[in-house]
Amino acid sequence: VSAKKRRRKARPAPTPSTEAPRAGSGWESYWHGPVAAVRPYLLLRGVLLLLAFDLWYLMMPHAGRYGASGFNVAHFAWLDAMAPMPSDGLYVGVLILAGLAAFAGAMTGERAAIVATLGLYTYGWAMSLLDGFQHHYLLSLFLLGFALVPALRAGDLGRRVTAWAYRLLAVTLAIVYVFASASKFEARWQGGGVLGSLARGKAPFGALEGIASGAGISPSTFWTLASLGVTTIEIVVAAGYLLCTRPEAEHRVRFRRLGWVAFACAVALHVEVEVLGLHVGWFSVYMLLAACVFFLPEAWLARAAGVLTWPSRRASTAASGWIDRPATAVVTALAAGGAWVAAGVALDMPGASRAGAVAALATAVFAALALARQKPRDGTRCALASGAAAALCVITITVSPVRFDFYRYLGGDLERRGELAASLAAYEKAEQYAPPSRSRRKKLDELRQRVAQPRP
Amino acid sequence: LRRGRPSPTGGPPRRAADLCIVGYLAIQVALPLAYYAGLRAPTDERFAWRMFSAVRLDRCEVEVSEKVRASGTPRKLPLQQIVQEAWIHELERGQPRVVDRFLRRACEDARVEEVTFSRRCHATDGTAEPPDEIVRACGVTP
Repeated sequence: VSAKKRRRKARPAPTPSTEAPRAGSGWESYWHGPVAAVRPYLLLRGVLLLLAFDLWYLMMPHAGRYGASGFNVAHFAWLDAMAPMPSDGLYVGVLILAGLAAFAGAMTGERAAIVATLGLYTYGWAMSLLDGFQHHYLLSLFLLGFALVPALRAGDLGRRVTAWAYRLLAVTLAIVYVFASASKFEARWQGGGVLGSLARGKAPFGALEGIASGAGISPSTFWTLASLGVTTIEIVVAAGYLLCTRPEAEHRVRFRRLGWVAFACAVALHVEVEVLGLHVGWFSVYMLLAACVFFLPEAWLARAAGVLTWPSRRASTAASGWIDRPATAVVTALAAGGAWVAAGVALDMPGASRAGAVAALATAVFAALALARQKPRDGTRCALASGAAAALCVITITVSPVRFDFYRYLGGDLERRGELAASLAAYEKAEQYAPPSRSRRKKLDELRQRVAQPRP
Repeated sequence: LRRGRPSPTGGPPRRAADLCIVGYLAIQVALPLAYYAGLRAPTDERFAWRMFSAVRLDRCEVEVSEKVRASGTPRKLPLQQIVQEAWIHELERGQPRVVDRFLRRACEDARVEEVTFSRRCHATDGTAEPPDEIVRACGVTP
């Protein structure tokens, strides 16, 4: 016994906070067992990066609906009681700032940025039932998980960590797919009519229906079987998230096989969602990213992460002395703040200028706090991320038809409600940002006439 | 379980983490189950993970009319002119909180005695579903 004790004493001290202990079995092993750091690292960074562009590119054009006609219902009654009536400016501001926080989180992994993303993004969808996408709620759950995952940097990629919040995300996804399949046990789904109405004539169902017909299978039987297939696929994906993400799964052949099958099913399901054109935003992209991170072999992910993080690791090494200076943090924070103020003005959307000012202030405050904590490197990294976010936000919104769509949707809505002068003003703005061949000149002429000669 | 031992991640102690896990999972399972248990309206599919739901594919039309005290005759409300189009879609989907808020807003006009919301839907195969009608007497707390 004494020799054993001596051996224990001689064992090297556990490496820093992120090193995982040997796990026991059952609950302990499942939640507190080791996870390859590359998995939560890629999931967190990937989702946050996607989210930043989702906010700026996909959600922004619909801001004109918010607060229109003075009517709104939030997702939760308490939010209706506490929060102000949303407006297009408030919504645009929240999206810009949430995008900044998400981008900074993706670049730096800073917990403060992740928590800010969680708060702003969740408020963004919860403020109104106009946003009914279920995956926005799912992304809030992801962000909650990211806020609880240990902070990971590129240097941690080869490690194993305890990350119960990462496991929680796997189980969350299993719950999502279990209930998604549960909804398909209803009579209407089982009959095949629902899937038929969504997929009839679309790839690969058009061809499959033809083959089935040739084999003497009636259309109704075909759609019933296809519906059963979708339900089965969802159950397999759920089983994959539940069973194949456990620490011991990588060492057991049957779980490795199930992981591959679940990955294939997830890819088939979400690629098909895109083929069917179901208008669910970037839901499929997020789910495909999650499937890659949870199911692909660790070695593949490590290689991908190595390539993706190479520029930042290289830059960090090359500019190591420069990045650690307090003066650098001050200068980069000032530059990033200036970039945000300019971006707010350049975006020419309601609420953008204020959001730009808030972003500049937030960058300055973060850099000041980093300096106060004697961590100029953190201040510089976040300021650099903030400056890059300002540039990318402006590029995303100005190069794409975001502003054109925002102003034409707004104009159309105001016209329907009889507010012709305001509608004309919105369409004039839309015309300013119209991509080639999408001019609204005819509409403008018609509105000008109607404004000049109002109907009795 | 090693209770009360600090987590090696430097996060909350493991026992607190376990409590968080259990609480979180309970909520995540309870929310969709509440839908299937009928605790939420069938048209309120939020938080129930009903991907490609049949309910969502119904084609519905809504009509809201108000009865003014002075005349007593019902008058159809021009929805397009009074709310943003996206809210009309929510009314068509029968989102209960939106319907309730819309009827309450219509009742805010002191001249209105009664508001009627009616929703008629067809399933994807064209079958008509039972109509949904709500009559709200204004000035009476529902």
